[in-house]
Amino acid sequence: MNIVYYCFAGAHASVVASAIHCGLLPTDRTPSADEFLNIPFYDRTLPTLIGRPYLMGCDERQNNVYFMGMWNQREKITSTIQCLLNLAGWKESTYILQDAFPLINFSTKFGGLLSKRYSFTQLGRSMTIWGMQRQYPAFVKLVYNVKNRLE
Amino acid sequence: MPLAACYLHLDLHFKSSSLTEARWSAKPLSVIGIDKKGNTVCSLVCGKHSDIYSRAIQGVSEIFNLEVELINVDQLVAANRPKGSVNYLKFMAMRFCFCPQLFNSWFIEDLRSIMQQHGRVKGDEA
Repeated sequence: MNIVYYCFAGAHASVVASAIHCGLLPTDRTPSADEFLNIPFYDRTLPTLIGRPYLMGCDERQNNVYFMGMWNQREKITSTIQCLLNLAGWKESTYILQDAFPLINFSTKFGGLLSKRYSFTQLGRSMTIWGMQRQYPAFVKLVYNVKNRLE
Repeated sequence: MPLAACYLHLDLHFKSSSLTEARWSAKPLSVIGIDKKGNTVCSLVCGKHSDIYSRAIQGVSEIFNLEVELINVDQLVAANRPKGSVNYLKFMAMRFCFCPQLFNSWFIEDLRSIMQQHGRVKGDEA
């Protein structure tokens, strides 16, 4: 099965959710700033490549876990993808498209803006991590729910 | 424009009422028909976000092994429209105004010749 987490820019929310899903981040505690920075792609995806799915890894059941950004077109792009997969004969039970964007808070959004759009990378990145740490239990819960859907 | 291109690809008669119907469709992707080679022809309306849609669809088609060919009709028309200020005005009017009754016959012929040049009409490719 393929699992795709998506958010606005594919740089924070979907990266963290997919990393938790793959076991790259702990589920029993809030990770440190360094642990966030060690995740592949965290705050490093290029804004010019928004829309492209990236493979984060595999989970314990060998499902492929991807993340992607969809800008402000999340609803429309997911509907397009679902329509395409439906046309190709893929049933909805064979993949999961999960929105992670609603979980992020103002600090992460503002930090992401500073880091990605205004090139204040250090300050912006710190703000995104601060925000992520506050919202981390919600991300763990989201991934837990997605894994429950797989069973 | 993509809807008109789909109609041309399928060799169907294009009416302005088809555009009006499509305008109110909530979903960006609409299945228009199946061509002679069995390819499903769809119209995708993505506005100024064509690059994001394109990357998303290409990425997803790689993940799920789908055979998808994207034809950016806006780009094709912009690159191949006949020269001259009148043609430019026609193109801009068709692109940014929504008045198919006025521009239908002008535009469809231009689009047909552009698509024929690129082998996109009557199921040559899909």
